Amino acid sequence: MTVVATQARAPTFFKQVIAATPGECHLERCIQCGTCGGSCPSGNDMDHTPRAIFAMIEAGMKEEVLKSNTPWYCVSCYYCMERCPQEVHITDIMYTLKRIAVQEKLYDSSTAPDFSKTFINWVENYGRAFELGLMSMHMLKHNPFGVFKIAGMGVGMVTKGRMAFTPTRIRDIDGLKSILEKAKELEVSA
Amino acid sequence: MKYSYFPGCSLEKNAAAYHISSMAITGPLGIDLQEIDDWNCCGATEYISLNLTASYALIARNLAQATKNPDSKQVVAPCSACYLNLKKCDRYMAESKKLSEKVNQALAAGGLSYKPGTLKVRHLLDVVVNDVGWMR
Repeated sequence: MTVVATQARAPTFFKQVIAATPGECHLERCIQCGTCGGSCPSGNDMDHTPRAIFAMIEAGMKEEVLKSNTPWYCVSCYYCMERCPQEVHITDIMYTLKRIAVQEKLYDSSTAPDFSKTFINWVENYGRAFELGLMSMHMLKHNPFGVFKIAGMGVGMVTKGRMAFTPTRIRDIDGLKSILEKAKELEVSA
Repeated sequence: MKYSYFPGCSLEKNAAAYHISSMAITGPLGIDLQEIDDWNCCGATEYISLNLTASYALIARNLAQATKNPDSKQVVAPCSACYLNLKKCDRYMAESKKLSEKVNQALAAGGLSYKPGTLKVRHLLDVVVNDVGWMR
């Protein structure tokens, strides 16, 4: 019993999550009501609902939390955050869990982290998102035969003027690159 | 009524219909949208999943660019994701001195700076409802 009680109060991971989330995330206020999980459009696909994840964070179950698919299934609709009676910044905490999982290489086997990396790669080099490049690079890497499946939709989007063939580069891309480089240095030293 | 305008990457192409209809109504309603010079992607939900400081620096660059507009202290975004990112960046920089300092150190590398609270970030619908009003 004593061991369980000690574990339940083990604050390290709990504190790490709060410290890594910008603003006042109010994680400590969670009353385990489950409104978040009940509101979540991806709740069915998640290993654990956000409510369960918060209880696990408080219990210090770091590895289980970071290996869970929950944050990667969050679609950033903010419905949970909107409805949370305790004003817990649930979506922001999901972003934090993704970041810690990537940093500590504990994320689940999904291709979601790599999708983020490909998306960012275009932004870092051009300053704007580039959907055709993102989709083709991601599909070729993870599901090459899937390209044929979505090719029809891609052609439709291009003919309707909904998808660009070439990426747009902002004027001061060098300035943006310096900013992001400096920001990454600061992140590492944090 | 003049506003700095952040269109966002989606409105350029895949959400072009939203852009065209926004442009069609803002003129007649007297909303003058002035596109932020050389704006960049807000990072959507992807950048923040990997790097916190860089994601906020990416967003803040747009706010810093918008402060160069002498005609308006308000930024309007029609895309909900862009709106949220810009708004959150301004708010969290105000709430967290540490974040604000880091973001500004990063911005300085590109010759820019942003003081949180300088601009008011608003959604296009907020402007239509509250500045133009129901009666028009």
